Amino acid sequence: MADEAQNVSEYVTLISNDGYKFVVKRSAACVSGALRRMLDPKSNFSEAIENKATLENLNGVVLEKVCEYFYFHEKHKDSKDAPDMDFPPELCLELLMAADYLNSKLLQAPFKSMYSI
Amino acid sequence: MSTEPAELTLPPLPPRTPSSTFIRHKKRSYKHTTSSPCTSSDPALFSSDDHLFSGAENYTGESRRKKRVFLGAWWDRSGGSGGERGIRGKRKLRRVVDSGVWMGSEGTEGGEDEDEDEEGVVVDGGEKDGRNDIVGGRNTNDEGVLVDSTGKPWVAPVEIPDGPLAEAEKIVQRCVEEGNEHVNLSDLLLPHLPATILHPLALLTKNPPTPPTTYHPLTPNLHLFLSHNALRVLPPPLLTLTNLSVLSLRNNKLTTLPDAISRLQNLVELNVAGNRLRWLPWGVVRLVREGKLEVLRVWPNPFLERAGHVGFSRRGVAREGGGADDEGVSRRLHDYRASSRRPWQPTPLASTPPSYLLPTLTPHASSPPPPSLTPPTVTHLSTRTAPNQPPPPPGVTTGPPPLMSLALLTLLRAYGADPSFPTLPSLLPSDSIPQRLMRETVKAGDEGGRQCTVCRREYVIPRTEWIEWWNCVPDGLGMGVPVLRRGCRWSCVV
Repeated sequence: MADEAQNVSEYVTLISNDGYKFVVKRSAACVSGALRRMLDPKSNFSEAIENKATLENLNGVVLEKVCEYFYFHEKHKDSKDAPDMDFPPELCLELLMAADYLNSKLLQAPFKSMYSI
Repeated sequence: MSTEPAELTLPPLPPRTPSSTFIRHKKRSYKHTTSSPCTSSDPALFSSDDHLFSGAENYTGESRRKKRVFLGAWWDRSGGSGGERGIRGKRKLRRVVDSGVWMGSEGTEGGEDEDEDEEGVVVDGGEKDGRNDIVGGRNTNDEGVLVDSTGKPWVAPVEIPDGPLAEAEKIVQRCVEEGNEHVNLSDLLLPHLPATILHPLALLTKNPPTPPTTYHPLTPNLHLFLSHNALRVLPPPLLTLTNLSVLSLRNNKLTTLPDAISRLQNLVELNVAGNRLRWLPWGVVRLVREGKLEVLRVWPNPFLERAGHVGFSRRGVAREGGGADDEGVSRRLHDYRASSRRPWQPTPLASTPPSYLLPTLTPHASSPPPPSLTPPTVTHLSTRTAPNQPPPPPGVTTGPPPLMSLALLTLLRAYGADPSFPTLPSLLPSDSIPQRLMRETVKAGDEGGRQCTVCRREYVIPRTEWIEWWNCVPDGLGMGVPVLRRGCRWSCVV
């Protein structure tokens, strides 16, 4: 019990396939359904125990933008009139695939409507 | 002597270029005077003294012979001389010379009109020394045949006209040249209308008024008639012609109109009768409400109807042809006009409950299917009875748009005009969600972009969708027309 509580940290580490590490807030990263399930403290995934997720499909440049979006989403979570975030156009195809990957597990989950990223 | 005053009256004509043209014709005929005497007997041909072969002896010899032979009509002589020479292209060439088409048109090279020869091979009769002008890299060989750089006979490139598209292009070009605002492309059975044909219309300017006493804008009020064609979608480049004031798409095969039609802010008259439209885009209502649209013809079309509502059926339109009915219609029209004291404004009549869509374009489990995905066999939709819209399902109603939507929107903004943009979906894994969404993005690009009908933000993936029936047709007797409305997020419902 104490062990579990200790593992629930405020920040998690996301590692890209080329070795870049991004330390982001857990609440922000949990916008993504895939990350939420990976880092769920109730699960016994190694990611949840180590608070560290390695994303083999994303390189550092894309993951940086994804993390940026996590915080953008966190900031505008409750606003009804959130602005659009700008992305470099050349990254958009990869971001599209990344967004699909980060939500893919959620589609099989019961909360389909939470598809948010 | 008498020619000199005539020349004085035409100062801008440069005297040298036409004369050199004539010299070539004269020279060519000079070679063949023995058998084919049918050159022009215009004295101007021989009046030049700046050429090697226009000496006095040539002049007299040729002109005498020509005078004797050439008194008859040239086509009477064609049989004998043509058979003797065996070169039919020659005779055609002569006819062009005699017709005077090329006379006095400065800037035309002597060899240019020969390129128009239908047979493609031009036999040149001139002596090689006197005819060593090379036009466009071509040359003449020893027999006087125009040859290209490889030695083969030079054949004029013939552009094969592409049926109705070529016809349309011709009409558009003529209108642009004449400054004609009425562009009539009707009855051409055009399946589509490429940008190369429509873009010249953007350059069309009116002819200035004569005399130019007052200042008039030369911006045209374009009238574009595309009735009786085979268009299935509105040609996207049409949306850039903001000068359009009349657009007729009557009797085509349109199934949808893009919402971006609201960009044609100067549109006064729109005719979409006789298509396959099941609804109108919200942009049409915006044009009536905020634009200048005054005449809107939408019937007949297989519009969606309200379930349980006795509406304006298509059979009803067909029946309304008799005199008594006409009178009834005009009386109702009069009553209707009299009853509206303030300027007429379109009014909503009914609405279906909104359908909430996931970012993957699938409807939420608890909401009705989106109208745009219903099969064409569905002709009636039930309207909502409660005054307020049903609340969105529990989920995300606030917050920024999903990352996917933002990425797609950025892609569309950055590369939407690129010709290779429609190939992007094929780069993505097949049958995946990104590919499906990318296809939708390409579709949005073809529609000229999408704008939320509630908050007017740009979007790609619709999140809410419903049909509203609007009394939006001026003088439409209060009949409701279905209008498709889409929102960019779940909070965008009315």
